[in-house]
Amino acid sequence: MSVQDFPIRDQQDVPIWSAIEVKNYKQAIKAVDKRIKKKSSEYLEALKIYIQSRDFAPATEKGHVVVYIEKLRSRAPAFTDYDAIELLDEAFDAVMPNSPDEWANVIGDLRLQRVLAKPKEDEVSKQFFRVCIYKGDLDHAEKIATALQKAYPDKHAYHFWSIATKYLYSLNLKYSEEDRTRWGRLAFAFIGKMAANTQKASSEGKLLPVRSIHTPQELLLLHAITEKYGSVENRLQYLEDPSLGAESKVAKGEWQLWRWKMELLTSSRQWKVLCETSRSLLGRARTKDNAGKLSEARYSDWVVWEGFMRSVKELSQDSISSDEIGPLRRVFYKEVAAHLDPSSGIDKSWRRNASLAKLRFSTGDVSSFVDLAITAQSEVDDTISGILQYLEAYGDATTAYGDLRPTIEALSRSQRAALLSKVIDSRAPAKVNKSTAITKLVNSYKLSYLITSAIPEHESHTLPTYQPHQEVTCDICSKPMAAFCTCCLMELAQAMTKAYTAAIKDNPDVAKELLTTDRHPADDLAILSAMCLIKAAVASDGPRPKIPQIVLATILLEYAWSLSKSNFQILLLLIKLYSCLGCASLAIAAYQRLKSKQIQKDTLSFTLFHRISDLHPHHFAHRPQDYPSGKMMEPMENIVEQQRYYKKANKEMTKNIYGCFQEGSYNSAVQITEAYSILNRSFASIFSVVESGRILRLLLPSKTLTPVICGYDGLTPNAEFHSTTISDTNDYDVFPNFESTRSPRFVSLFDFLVPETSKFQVHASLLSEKLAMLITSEYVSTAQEIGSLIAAFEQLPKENEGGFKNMSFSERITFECSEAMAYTISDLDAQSKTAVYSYGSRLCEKLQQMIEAITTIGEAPPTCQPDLQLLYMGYDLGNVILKLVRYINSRNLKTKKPEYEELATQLIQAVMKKSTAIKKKLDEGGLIDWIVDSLAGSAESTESQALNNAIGDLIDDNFREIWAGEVVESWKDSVEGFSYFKSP
Amino acid sequence: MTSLRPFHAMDVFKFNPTNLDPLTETYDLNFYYSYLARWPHLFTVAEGPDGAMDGYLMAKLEASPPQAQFSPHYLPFHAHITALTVAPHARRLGLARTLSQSLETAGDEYDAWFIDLFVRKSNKVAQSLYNGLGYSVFRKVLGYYVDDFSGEDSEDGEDAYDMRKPLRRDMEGKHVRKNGESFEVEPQDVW
Ligand SMILES: CC(C)(COP(=O)(O)OP(=O)(O)OC[C@H]1O[C@@H](n2cnc3c(N)ncnc32)[C@H](O)[C@@H]1OP(=O)(O)O)[C@@H](O)C(=O)NCCC(=O)NCCS
Repeated sequence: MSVQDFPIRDQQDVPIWSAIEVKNYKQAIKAVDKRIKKKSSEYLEALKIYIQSRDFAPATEKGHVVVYIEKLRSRAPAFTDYDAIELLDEAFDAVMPNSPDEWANVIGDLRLQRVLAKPKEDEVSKQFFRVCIYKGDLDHAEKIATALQKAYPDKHAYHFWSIATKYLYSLNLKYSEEDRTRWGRLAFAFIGKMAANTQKASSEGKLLPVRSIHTPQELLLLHAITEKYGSVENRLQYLEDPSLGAESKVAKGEWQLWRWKMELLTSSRQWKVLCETSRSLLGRARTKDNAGKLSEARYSDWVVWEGFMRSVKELSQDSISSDEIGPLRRVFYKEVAAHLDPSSGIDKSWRRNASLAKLRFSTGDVSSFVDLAITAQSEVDDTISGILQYLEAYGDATTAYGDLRPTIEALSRSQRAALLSKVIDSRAPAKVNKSTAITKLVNSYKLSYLITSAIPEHESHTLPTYQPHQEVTCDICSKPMAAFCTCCLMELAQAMTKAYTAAIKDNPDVAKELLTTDRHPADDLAILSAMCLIKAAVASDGPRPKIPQIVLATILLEYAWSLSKSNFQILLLLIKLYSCLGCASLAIAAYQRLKSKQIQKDTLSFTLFHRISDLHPHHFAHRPQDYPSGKMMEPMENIVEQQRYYKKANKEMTKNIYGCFQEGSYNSAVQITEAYSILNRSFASIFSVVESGRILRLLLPSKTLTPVICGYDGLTPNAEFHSTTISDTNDYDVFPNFESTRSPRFVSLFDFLVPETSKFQVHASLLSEKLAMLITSEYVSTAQEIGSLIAAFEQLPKENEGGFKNMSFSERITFECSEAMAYTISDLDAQSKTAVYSYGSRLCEKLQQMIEAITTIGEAPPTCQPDLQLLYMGYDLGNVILKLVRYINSRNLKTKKPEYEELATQLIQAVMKKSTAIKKKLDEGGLIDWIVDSLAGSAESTESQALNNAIGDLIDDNFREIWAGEVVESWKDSVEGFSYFKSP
Repeated sequence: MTSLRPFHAMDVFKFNPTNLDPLTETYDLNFYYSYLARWPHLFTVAEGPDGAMDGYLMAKLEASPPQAQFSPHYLPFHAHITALTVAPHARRLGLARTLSQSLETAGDEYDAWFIDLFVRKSNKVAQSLYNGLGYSVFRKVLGYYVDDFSGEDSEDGEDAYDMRKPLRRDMEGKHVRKNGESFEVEPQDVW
């Protein structure tokens, strides 16, 4: 803040502000004291505190500033000078930045006192309300809103400000459960009163009073609050009320109300009402208005069809007499026919709903509601012909596969076999010279995959007798298979690669018609073929996938991407495949090509950055070919940028919460508050802190790490505690997935690289990292800090609750060692000499396990991410333990050298030995030839050789050699990270 | 399946299928949330199975500020399509058309004169969508987009077409013109 920002009250203030401008605080204090002596004022008192806060005073003096402000807060009469309060806020922020709770206690309260002292100055009150919202101080924001409501009872908006703020308070996890519930209930009571007033006025034909619901956003808020504190019946009553329901004047056609009505009628099993409601909406959707337009076309929304299907089905099952069933089903089919009538004028997006409803209804599969077994032969034929008809009509759209998948999953084996033969026939079409024809072909391959691989795998994996590595006989090809049938997968991969080659090479005109930003319609063939290869690779016995298949899948996708550069799903798979191959720079390049920005820094970082410290913590030694230096961000830069993003996003969110109040968009305020609370506790935000600690310890071992350097200041407090709510914002669904809807997503096959993030893993990683920072930075560990970490360790549910399930071997060892180290420090602090040894045997056991694992890492490339993780985490762990020993020694306890000191040294040596051996192997050369040869195949089995040949027909020698060169360069770049390993 | 619903603040966590496409910009949260604050009823999502985002339309209703009243570029009260995007896997199903039509209904309800939007000169797909819906080019904005997707890699960026469709209020077609392609303006003339 400068002279320009604060109006100079008096000519005599000029010297004070001039001194502040040139940072001559001594002079400024002198000048202000002189003025105070003559005649003190709130403004001058505040100004003095403001100057003191600017001065680089020792901590005690800063504390003094806060104490002083606090005193002013409780002063009677209240502090009312607007500028003075703004100055005090600035002063507080300078001495205690990022302290929202303290801010609320001191400044939030000061602002509230001012509002209560001058309740009729609503511009100031609104301004203060805004500041409290920005600061997340809902306690004072609520009180200010209520003061505004009381001071201006005729202002409709302030009543809702007060209700909405109460509700926002109830959503904020930082307040106690009891307070939150209390405010939530109050909000519920008040808004219920508003709703009742609307009902009353409407029924009496009167104008709506001030204290009643007037707008759609207020209605939506009513539902949000009632959903939490009321009942389904309450909400249904509102939805059915002529003055508050979906067709009320107040609702202004708000579509969400209809959606809720469908949902609540379903959950409360009111089938008759649901049937009537959905039927009437569907009828309206196809009825033209006076202008001849289908102005209510949106009523044929899928949720309405779902309601109709479900209710007819349920009524047919038990609610109506048997002679009513036929007519009811006929009503359904009549409605479908009316929507599908070519003369109905209904747009194709809505008609598709009718077709899909017909298919689902006739096959008995009503979305996720019920699965009816279909038995009669005639129905079997109907079902299959229904599916084929749908495929014929909509197979040229990518969504056809997703539309048909649940229906096919509900079929029996023999039905699926019958369908497969028809689908295979359709894979040999006459001409595939158009985008739509290619999409149709792709869909038939996807269905083949679903029937021959995805569904049987799911069925076999869910058998009670299933064991991942035990061989069974494949239902489809009758050959032995373990988790996946390699034979079927390779055969499909080969067929799809050939189909892809034909689609690309025989039809160059298709690509010419696309925009440069379009993806090629044949891409999914390459993706699915690569997926088959990946499955075949992980189906091997060992813990690591078969590399030749991974190499094939990678080059196939890299080639496909070179022809379809906007296909982000190819890039996502490439990130994983390159991580698997230990080609970190290529994985990072693929990530950068996604051009993720803003919120995507959070939702997509899990694809690579949650474990970047184990893959590529260092600076690039070599950047991939099409990335000139400077354009490719270093790993640490990415993390720093992500952390910066969170701070920026917080401001943007709080700013808009206030914006919602100004616009009367209370429901949006609630939603943004929910999103704010989620983003602030996201797994990705926590991992950014963990990863920066790990990377910095390796790259800058002599730097003293502080919580601020690692980004802890942006984290939700106590995030390491199991009781702290944290949220998963990782967008796994963006990866391609053609598996059965009941199976895990395809991306979880990569769990062997980095297990899918779990809540336990996030808490545990943060806990280990906090401890490592405390020990290695020699950043004074207070008993309180260690005590808090121990409490967090104790709170985490471990083995018995499956906590370790989602942790890699290295993560688990690190976590267990961290726990032992925390107890050691705590006991030491309690002056117990035995502490040095009490947890020693546990540490020794874990260290030995880690050393053993490191010695078994293969030396020939590629060094897969889990192996790199062993090396990097092993090195870090060894060093942290040695620092612990140094800490113990500093206590002069005169104890014997603990055994784990020696083992920690051995661990570091094992890391160094192994990494040197890996590097040496890499330097031996001949790797490009090795890759090119492995692409050509080793004739291990005829299926796989046929696939190698198919890929050979697609990708020319030049592309292969350049790519192999890139892979080798990337390996060389990866091992540069080993140069940071130093002997203890 | 076609299902529309209002955009939810939490959708930003899962809009990658639409926003990783090069023609769809990902803005800061301020941008999305200010629309949620001011025009929540004009921000619509097309939802796929399991709540996936198949597409969305972000729009606003406004007029040029009063001080621009005498400018030749003044815009009376109208609806504006800020973003319309459909995920690659859900294209060509009519979703974009359906989303745009929902805005036409809202525009008529609020008595707006027309709907307008900017589209890249090279984006023939979107132009064909809008032409089919009755939009026409009103003017060409030179170098409106900083980056160039036309394949020409021009240093001056890429031109935009400002396309319009008159709504019920503009019975006489006062706010549309023929041969708008030849009517060139600079980026600072539009807002
Ligand atoms: C432009 C875009 C929104 C179209 O979405 P969509 O849901 O696939 O479009 P629709 O299915 O509703 O198509 C409606 C009409 O547009 C035209 N159209 C759409 N895609 C087309 C294509 N690839 N080629 C030719 N015309 C096309 C057709 O006339 C189509 O009607 P029809 O299918 O009955 O023949 C989509 O391609 C997209 O998201 N592109 C990237 C973002 C973008 O460009 N947004 C527009 C910015 S102004």
